[in-house]
Amino acid sequence: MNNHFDHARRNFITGMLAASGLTVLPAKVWAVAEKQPSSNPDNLFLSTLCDLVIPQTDTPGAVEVNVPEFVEVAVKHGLSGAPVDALSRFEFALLSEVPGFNTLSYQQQIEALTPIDNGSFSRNPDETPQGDLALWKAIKALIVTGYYTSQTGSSEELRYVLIPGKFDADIPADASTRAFSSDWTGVKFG
Amino acid sequence: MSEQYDAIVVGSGITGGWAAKTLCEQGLKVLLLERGRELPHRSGYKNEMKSPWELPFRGEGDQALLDEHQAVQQHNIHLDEWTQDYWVKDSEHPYQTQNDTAFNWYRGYHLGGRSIMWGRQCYRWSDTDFEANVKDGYGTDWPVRYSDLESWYDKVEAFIGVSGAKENLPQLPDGQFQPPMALTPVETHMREHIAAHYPDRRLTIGRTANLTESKPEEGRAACQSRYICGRGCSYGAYFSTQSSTLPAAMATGNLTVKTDAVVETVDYDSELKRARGVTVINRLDKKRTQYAARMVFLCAGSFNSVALLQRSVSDAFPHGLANNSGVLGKYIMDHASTLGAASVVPGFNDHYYYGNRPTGIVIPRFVNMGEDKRAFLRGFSYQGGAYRPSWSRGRNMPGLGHAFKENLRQPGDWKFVLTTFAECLPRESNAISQNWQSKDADGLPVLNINFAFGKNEHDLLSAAKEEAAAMVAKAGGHVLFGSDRPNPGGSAIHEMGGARMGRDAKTSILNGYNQSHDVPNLFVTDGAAMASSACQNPSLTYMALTARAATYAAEQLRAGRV
Repeated sequence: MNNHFDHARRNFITGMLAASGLTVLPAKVWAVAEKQPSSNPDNLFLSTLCDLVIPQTDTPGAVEVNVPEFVEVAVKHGLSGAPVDALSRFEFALLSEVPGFNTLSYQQQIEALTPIDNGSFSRNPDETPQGDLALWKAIKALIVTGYYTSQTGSSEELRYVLIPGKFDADIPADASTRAFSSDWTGVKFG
Repeated sequence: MSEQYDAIVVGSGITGGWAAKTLCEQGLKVLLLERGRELPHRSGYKNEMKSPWELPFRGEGDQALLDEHQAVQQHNIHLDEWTQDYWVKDSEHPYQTQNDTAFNWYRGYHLGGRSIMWGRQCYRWSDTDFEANVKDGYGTDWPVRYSDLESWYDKVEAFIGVSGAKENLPQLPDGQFQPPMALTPVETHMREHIAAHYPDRRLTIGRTANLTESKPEEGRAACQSRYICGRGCSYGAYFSTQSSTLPAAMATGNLTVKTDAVVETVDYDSELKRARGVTVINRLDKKRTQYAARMVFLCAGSFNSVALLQRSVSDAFPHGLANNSGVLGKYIMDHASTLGAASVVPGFNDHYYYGNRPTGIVIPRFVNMGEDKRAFLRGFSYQGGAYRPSWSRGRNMPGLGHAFKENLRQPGDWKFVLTTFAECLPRESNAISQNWQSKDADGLPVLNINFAFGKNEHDLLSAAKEEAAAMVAKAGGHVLFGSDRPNPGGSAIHEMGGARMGRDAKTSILNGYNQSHDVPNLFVTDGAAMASSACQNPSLTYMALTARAATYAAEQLRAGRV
């Protein structure tokens, strides 16, 4: 029953996206989707989320380095505490909370997602997202993990040095200093 | 006919390697038995050089599989997708806890045992620790003092390679150190402010079994500052059985190693009143084999050594071998640990670091020392350090889009953390026993663990939280979080006791040379022998006790006294 419902809903969502003339999503999302078509229709929605969290800048973004594929696998295996149906449940909850979310511009989507994102990390229970919107925290964690553990995220966006060969306890830093993704203390204890 | 050796060593971890090396170098023919698989140095570390993107789950591990097979082990921060194969499958090696108590029993069943995954912190104990039991009456008096172990600490440190700074502290004696690793600017700042406000307190670099100078004669290179030690180190830069004691033992030509050899019992000869050897279950085909030896060393890891004695019942020892005292399995301990303080330290973001230092800092015990008198007994120490968070902070902070990505591009604000390790009093009620009705994958009875921290440990953690916050504040840090609630027992991975040393055969299992009071050719030299826990990491003391006991045992054997 649920599978049938989800399938029908995904068809509706996909159809709605198509009807919106592709302008509702960043072009790069579609480019990747066309280049590497997903076996899962939810991938389009997931790609939107990935792009909203980590977009392309002077380095590739989450979509470009296949984070959606990682998140799909990660959710199936329960990483970050996400239930196996986290993506479809969050998708349904978000579209219920923000009708027409998929028709919004990138900036409008950012603005729509921001209260949910802020609330997910708030200590104020009144701001904490309710119901399946609370799944955002786990989904975002997986997007972040997927990006910064990719080769591009690790070694182009950040710096990755597997064998430093020495420990220098004090080097200068300023606003242009990039973090080491291979700083395992800095990663484990975030 | 069983194979005959001079000595059998059960377990190939930190103490098993030391026992094998020492006994072999004394000219004895030694059989080293390891219950787990072979794990060859270098070629066995299959994930060592892999980057996150080369792993199916990017280093996180398959959570579904972890939940199914490593429900306990996964709680250890050192278990990840690179290292998970080194940690036992709880599904194959279950244990039970009693009376709603919690105990996380972390184990590694393979050649080298937990020497592959250990935290490498090396601290001497002092007479503050060895005299603690007799002074306050909890536990029984240690049959040794610092002077008995000092030269053995020297030998062990020189061989394994310990980097550290000399501080001339009576409660944390200096050792034979390689050059220390450097403090970061925030740690130096903390050291200076703590010293200025608390003359009796010292922040110093963690003393760690990572080489800062190579030991080419042993085929070991200096640390490459990767801090991926838990994957195994092909440089041999940290001490493990594979990098250090096993090659030394092999070089004598006196060592035989058998892996997949689960020791079921130590076999007792009631006529000779000696251990005659062991019975081994082959892990793979389940066939039993007996091996004979003139003496037996148990180095299987504290609880497993005790369990082996408890399984070894006979008419002479119906309640476990070498248990005439009745205290076998009792007085187990683990340090009460928790995150004492997590703080941010402003004003240093124009500093960063290069490379990964494989140790942190330590603030040795200062309570109940000198003029510092408290209402509780004994003490605590801190370990921790300063660092700048990397990208993973993005999993726990709000933010989206370009600004979020730009934020994570830079290292985060400096953090300084102090983890508390509090001494655990020896209590009779904290005990392990056999569940004869339930068996693990090797066919051995599973262990019942009954363990709880008491009021003294809670009081220690409470004081530690308060003191940590005060020290951080004096240095200009802002405490974000501090805890005085202990992590579950076992979390420090310093489980010890159960076959304690003591002066009186009526109240202890082992004498001052880790020798059974009841079975003179039986020695237990791992953490099971501990009569108290101190608040320092215990492995260095295990090694010193083992080297000393093995040397003594060889002398006794030559003299015909065991």
